[in-house]
Amino acid sequence: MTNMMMCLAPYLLAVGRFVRSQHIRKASMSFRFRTRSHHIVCVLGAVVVGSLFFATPASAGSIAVDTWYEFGFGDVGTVATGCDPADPAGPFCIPSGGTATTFLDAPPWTFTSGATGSTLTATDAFNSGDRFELFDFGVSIGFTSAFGANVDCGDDPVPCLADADMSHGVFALASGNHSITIEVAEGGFGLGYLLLQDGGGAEAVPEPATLVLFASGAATALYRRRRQS
Amino acid sequence: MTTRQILLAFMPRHVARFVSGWIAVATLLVLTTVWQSGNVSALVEITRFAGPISSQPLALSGDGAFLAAVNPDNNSVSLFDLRADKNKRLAIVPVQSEPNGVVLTPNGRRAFVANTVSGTVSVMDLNIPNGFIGKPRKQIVVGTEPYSLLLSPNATKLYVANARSDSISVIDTASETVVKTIPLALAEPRGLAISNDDDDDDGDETLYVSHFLSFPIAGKVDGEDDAKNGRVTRISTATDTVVGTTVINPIADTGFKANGDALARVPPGMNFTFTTGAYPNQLNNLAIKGNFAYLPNTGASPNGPVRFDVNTQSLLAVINRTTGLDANHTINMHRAVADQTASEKLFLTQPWAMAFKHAADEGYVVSAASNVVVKVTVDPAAGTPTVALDPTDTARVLEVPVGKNPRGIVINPDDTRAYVMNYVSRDVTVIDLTGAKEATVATIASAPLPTPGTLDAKVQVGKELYNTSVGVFDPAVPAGPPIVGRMSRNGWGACSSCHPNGLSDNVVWIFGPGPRRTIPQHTDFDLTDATRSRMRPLNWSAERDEQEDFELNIRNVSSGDGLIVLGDGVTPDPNVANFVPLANGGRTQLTVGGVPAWDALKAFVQFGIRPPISPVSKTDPDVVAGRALFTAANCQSCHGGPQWTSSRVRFTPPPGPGVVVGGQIIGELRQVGTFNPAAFNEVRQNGAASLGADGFVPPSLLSLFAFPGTFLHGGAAGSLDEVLNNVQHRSAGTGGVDTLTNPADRSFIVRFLLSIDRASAPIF
Repeated sequence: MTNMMMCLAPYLLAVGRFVRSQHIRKASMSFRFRTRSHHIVCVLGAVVVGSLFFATPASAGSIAVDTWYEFGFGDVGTVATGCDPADPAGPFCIPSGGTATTFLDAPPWTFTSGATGSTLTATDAFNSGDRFELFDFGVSIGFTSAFGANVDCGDDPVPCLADADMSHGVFALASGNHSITIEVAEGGFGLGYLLLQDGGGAEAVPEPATLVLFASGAATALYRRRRQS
Repeated sequence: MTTRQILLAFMPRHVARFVSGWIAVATLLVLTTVWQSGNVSALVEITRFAGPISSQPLALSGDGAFLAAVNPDNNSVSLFDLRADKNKRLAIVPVQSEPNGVVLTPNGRRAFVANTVSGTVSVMDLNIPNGFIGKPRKQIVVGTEPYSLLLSPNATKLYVANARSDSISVIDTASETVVKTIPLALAEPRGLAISNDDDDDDGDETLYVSHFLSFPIAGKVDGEDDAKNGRVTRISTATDTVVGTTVINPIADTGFKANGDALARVPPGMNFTFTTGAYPNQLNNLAIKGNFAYLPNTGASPNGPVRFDVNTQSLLAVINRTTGLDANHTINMHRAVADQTASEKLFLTQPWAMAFKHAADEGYVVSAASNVVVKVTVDPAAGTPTVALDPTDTARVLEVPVGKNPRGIVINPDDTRAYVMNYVSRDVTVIDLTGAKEATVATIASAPLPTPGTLDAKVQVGKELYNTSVGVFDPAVPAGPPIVGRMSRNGWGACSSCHPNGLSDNVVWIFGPGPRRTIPQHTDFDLTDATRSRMRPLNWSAERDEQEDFELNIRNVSSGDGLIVLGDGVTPDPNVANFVPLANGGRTQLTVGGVPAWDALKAFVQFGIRPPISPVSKTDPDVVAGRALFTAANCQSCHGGPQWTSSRVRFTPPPGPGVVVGGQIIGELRQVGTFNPAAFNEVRQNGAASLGADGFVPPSLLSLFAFPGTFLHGGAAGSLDEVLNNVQHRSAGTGGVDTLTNPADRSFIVRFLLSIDRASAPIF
């Protein structure tokens, strides 16, 4: 945090001075970066912060474990939405008449998995015939299963998940941050459910944002070592 | 690649042929099993409706599994799952302003909603079996005040009735665009019905369009029981052009006798020997069965004397679709109730909508004011309808109770259930049609009611009372039985009988003071005043100064016991009169849910009546020119201000001495040459000379375009041109100097008058 404040200080002070003095040149010169490498590290840090910021849009929301979430979807090839009113862009979803569920807000749906990772379950609901592809930070993590006979499992996610004719999938996710979206692969215009549970995570596969963080940390360590030497 | 080609890759030809044959047989067996189990909809998409179709405020999917119902006061549409009598509301979907009509495609994958105030049709995607209820994704702009709509049998075209711009919009359902607008020569298209010859061609059907208000008959005089007729426009779907008009004739005998004949100058006597006729009016809806189309409507029997059973009638008219003519089989459904031998009669007031079974010659009419559905059987050859008796008690008519103010009905494809949309109670009644006697089996809430204690809740109570012929009130003592039936005798009349939606039936009634055209009540209060505290004098002769004075109409016209009571909370207070000695407002009243009944009725008139929207642009150059001429002629001296009338109640009731002269608030009357005491219909209901020599309250011009063909207090003018032909009238604002001698100038003023609605800037 201290390092972050050191990085932000030149910008914050410069902006403050600019606002007060209305003189950009004086403001920009009033606080200098200590070294060239200090500048590099700070810019790198800003990229990290920026990447995290843009990876999680303000309209999206996090999801909690052990809660069945309902989502809606339109035609094949489109991205699934949440349900109105949680997601104003989503359809009017029919809630489960059995197992307690809640409406998802706008995608992507984000969460941070613990040390043992997470398990994400997705299932189609109501009529069979729909199938999904799930993405984490835009990278495919797989498809739900092929659907079977034409059945109607109803509005409850639990019997729907248990029905072999309904398309569903269980995805192991590594520890760390996740940002999930769903694309309609087959069928279309319906509802489905997501369930996040702790544990069962796969071996960590670095995500783009994680890689940037890693690079930032390495650069900071390198910078400190050079200063100490 | 076929199944056999795949098999050939792995086995000898003869084996492959054997295996592929068995696969085909097995597939057929599976399909047959699925079909028999009733899950065929998943495999075979329904693309065509079964039988003819009518516009309604609620709609079924082709398989009857799902229902949509509009909520006009909530600006939404509710969707219901009906499978296995689940009768479950799934969602309330916001649409645009005041939805009055809805359709679902046969496959249930799309809904179209007519938004009357917005002038649009909302389009929604649906896949309810899969849980999907999409938001309106498109708003198609149509005409002014689209009220109803229906799909062609194969859902290739959507027809929309634009009630104020007098046209039908034709929407191509594939492109979801208006491809044609059919102009109509007649005003206020309201109900739609389309034939269905059950083929793939939607271009070989006939569309029937009912016009809500009736039209003057040449040579007749307003006030006569046969002064007007109803009209139905016929449109060929081959060309989407008008091919004819069916005239719905008055009936010569309603089956009810009067004890006098005002127009014949015969005062009321002791004997009820005078035959009364009635003309069809308020043609809200129509339904097709076989070679006939049926139109429930409120018959007007305006000749005096006034009595509860010789004013409005419950008519069912019949069109012969082969000839395109009135089949002259109109029945008065009230007569069936009058003829029943059982007591506790409930008349069938304001027949508003109808639907037929698909496989039987049986239909059902909703009585909007009496809160019942009545069964009608029809002769398939002659078309004659008959009101059905209760099979379990043939001493009475079969009346199925439903919710408050039913306004639409649909029947599922297998004729096992009817669904009724109840406007005031905001719910849907489910009726079982399979038993020996039809019975209500469920009521499903469609939209939330206003929060108790709010102004909206008070207006809602007022709306309920305004639209009911019965009235159900709080018990006089705690836990006692409710007080019922105070609005009229045996449920015959309601405020809405003559003021549909608070507006006007456009009928000239021979009332106590003389011939009086029904005044639409959206003009009663100054709508620019948030508190609605400014009111014009009521009635043409300013004989009333409070809404509560219409207690006298409930008692004397509808023969109800009324709402103003003595201290015991139940006995009608006999001391009710216009003006003096007591104000009628604030008196002891019956209550509904704790809300005083007259306070609620007044609140409804103040806040609950929407003025019709004019289709004429305010910036039309002719309108602009007409406005300038109107102003120059100082017409605003009588028709100015926010209410488009100069008259006001300028005192707190009761009036002081000298305000009322001859039973009229004399200072608010204007004598502008519109009273002709020699006219045939200038007669009171008791046969005496009519009131009018002192002048009349200048009528409000707000939305006057919506009530065409009958103008001035007694209908003496058939058009606005005729109104302006009266030199004394048009010169009244300029001290008798006629500034409007040029017919072209008058035509500009007419154009301006037709444009006036709530969006028009008042002239002071």
